[in-house]
Amino acid sequence: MYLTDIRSNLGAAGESKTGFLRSAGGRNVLAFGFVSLFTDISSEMVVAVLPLFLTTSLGFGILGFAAFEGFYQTASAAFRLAGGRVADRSADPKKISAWGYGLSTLTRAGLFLSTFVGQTLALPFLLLDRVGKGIRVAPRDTIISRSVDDTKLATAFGVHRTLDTTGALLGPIAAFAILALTPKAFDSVFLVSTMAGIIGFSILILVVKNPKEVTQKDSSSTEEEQVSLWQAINQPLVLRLALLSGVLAVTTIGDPLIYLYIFETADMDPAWFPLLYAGTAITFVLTAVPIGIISDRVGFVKVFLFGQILLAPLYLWLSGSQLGSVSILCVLGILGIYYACTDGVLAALGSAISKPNNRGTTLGAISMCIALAKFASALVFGFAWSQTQNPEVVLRWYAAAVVIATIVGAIGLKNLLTHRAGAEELADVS
Amino acid sequence: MSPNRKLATISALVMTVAIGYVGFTFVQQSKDLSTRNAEAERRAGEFVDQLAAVDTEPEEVVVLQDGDQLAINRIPGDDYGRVITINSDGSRTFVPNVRCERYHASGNYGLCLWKAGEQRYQATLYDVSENVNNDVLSWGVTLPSRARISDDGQYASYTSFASGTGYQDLGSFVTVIEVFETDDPLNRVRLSDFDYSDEDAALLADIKGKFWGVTWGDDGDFYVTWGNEEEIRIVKGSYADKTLELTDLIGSCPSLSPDGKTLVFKESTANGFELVALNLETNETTRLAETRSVDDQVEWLNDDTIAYALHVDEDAETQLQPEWDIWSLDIADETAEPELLLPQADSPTSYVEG
Repeated sequence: MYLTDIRSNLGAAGESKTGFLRSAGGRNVLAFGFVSLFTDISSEMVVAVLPLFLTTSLGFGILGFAAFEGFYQTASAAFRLAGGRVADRSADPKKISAWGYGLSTLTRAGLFLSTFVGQTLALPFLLLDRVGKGIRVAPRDTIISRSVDDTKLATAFGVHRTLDTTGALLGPIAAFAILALTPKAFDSVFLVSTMAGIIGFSILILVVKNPKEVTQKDSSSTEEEQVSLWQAINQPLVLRLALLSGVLAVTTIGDPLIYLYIFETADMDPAWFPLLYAGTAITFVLTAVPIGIISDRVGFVKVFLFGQILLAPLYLWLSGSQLGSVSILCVLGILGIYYACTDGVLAALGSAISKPNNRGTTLGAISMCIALAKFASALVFGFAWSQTQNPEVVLRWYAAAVVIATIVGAIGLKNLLTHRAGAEELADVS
Repeated sequence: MSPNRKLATISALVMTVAIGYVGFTFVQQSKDLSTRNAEAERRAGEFVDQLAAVDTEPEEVVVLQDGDQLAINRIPGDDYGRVITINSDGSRTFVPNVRCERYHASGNYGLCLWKAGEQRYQATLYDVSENVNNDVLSWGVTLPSRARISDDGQYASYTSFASGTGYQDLGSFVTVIEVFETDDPLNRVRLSDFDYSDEDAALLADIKGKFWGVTWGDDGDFYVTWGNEEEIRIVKGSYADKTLELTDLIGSCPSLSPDGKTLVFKESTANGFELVALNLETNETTRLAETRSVDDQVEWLNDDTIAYALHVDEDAETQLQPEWDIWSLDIADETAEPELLLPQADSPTSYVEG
């Protein structure tokens, strides 16, 4: 079956003896990690100053800002599936992801120019950036998953996500350092962001390689391997996993809302607010690789469900206790571990259950479902909060919903529950 | 070149551009700042006494006296935005812990609109009878614009921008205005809920109408500006009856003299805003001797003298710490010219003990 083919193609036998990062596939993942690191520095720099830029330079009101934010966040969702699909059809997923990264970097340059020409020009660039984001995600994860042996999938995603999140941490720091040094100089921020984007893009072009297996498959590929979009998605496991990850994401309260809740209940100084983001991200960076390695040993589904169920005690803790600095730290820590258990692990799981020729579509479908579910969850939580004026109660509902969704997830994925990375029965199930 | 060499070259190039650009901007901004500081120092040289500032300990108790003049310090630097009392020799004393975008105080109460974070503003009501910074209540507001408390301290009002930043273009802004009694600041009301005659409804019922800049008379009577996207009027109102009544005065930001006899307001002209005084007993209007555009709601220092802030630079809006000067004008003396009352300050406030 194809799983064995991949392993033999990549010469997995020798790989497990040497360190992960010393193997050719590991180095490819590492290189892609640095692509994401620089790209995330680039994009998070813009995201961090966006509220300021839109309201002070473009004169947006609160409502306009909220509408833009909603559109901005959902714009990429639709392109995720498309990006994955195109990557599957193409012999060259690196080229597709390069289009995505290139487009995003170009929009930064456009933002930079718009500060001189006319700032309303910034709007189409901001939206194009999301299109670039949508295009690049699925081909990127496809390349990562195909770079390594199936027994190292979660480790690979752990390494990648660690670097990715490090970039997301550094971006806002860089942006605010620049604004502190040269106040109101949004052009400086956009220029540095463009430069970081160029570095990321150059690493992609010069260092990252298309996995060998892809090029081999391409040379021997036959017409019958080309499947329609619906056929690609409509595989029992793919569809089930995409929908279940959507169900689980609906019960997940978005971080900004959790931070807002902590902020309001704990009577925090606004200056500390960004540290809430940092607390979660740092925990994620520290734990993503070890948890990836563990997932490769004990199975993706167990770790994934463990991460999900962590949210239930987390929400109960938030709703019940007087939030002191220690409990806030614990909450942020748990949140970081939740992400480490779910984000990269889910990508690994999606990769493991999909055939190479529809892996991009699978990962794109999963990430689209999650993006839409998160948007719905934010609306529901925000609405419930404002209607009941009692976020503690809403948090308890969500805790209950997490438990139910996790049980549903466990039942839905029970075929995979005992699965260990690279085991043959996976292919048989699908 | 090997890929690694290429990558190193590109990275070095790109980082040079980034660091160079930020460095260039930094140098450019520092130059601008030092030019401005030099200019400020040059101007300050003319008012050495006034600039001698006295700081207070954070715990120090400051009790306001009848006739005290207050303002917001606009000398760029760490004390920018702090509320000051102006001493008789023109020197300034910083009030502990009060930093505002707009301030007014009278009759045992103070009202401060202040910046609480990026794009976040708050209003704080102070009971100043025993200490100037004894706060009663704070609540969130939008971009601060006007604040006014009645002489007896019983009524207060503020105006903030919900969108837009200035009054020049009628179509470009929306305001939030609230009026309330200082002993019940939780119960703030909006002028859009007030009643008016069917005749006045032709204008006041316009969905695009907005109010700004309340000035208080006796017993909760007030004047305020009403405007939609085309025209503006001064409106008379009663807090007690919750009613509004259009006047035929075309102008904005009215300010009623302490004796209730004179109303000074702004008239729009091609060059900006000109100050006009209306004698409410004779119904005579006089154009005042100030030739520069005044975008402020004037304050009365006594029954004859007004004070208002003027921007120091044309492009002040784009500066980080824009500066204003406070000017005064004796309107009883027709030959009087505007006089500089206090450089680098705004929100002139003449405290009346209620």
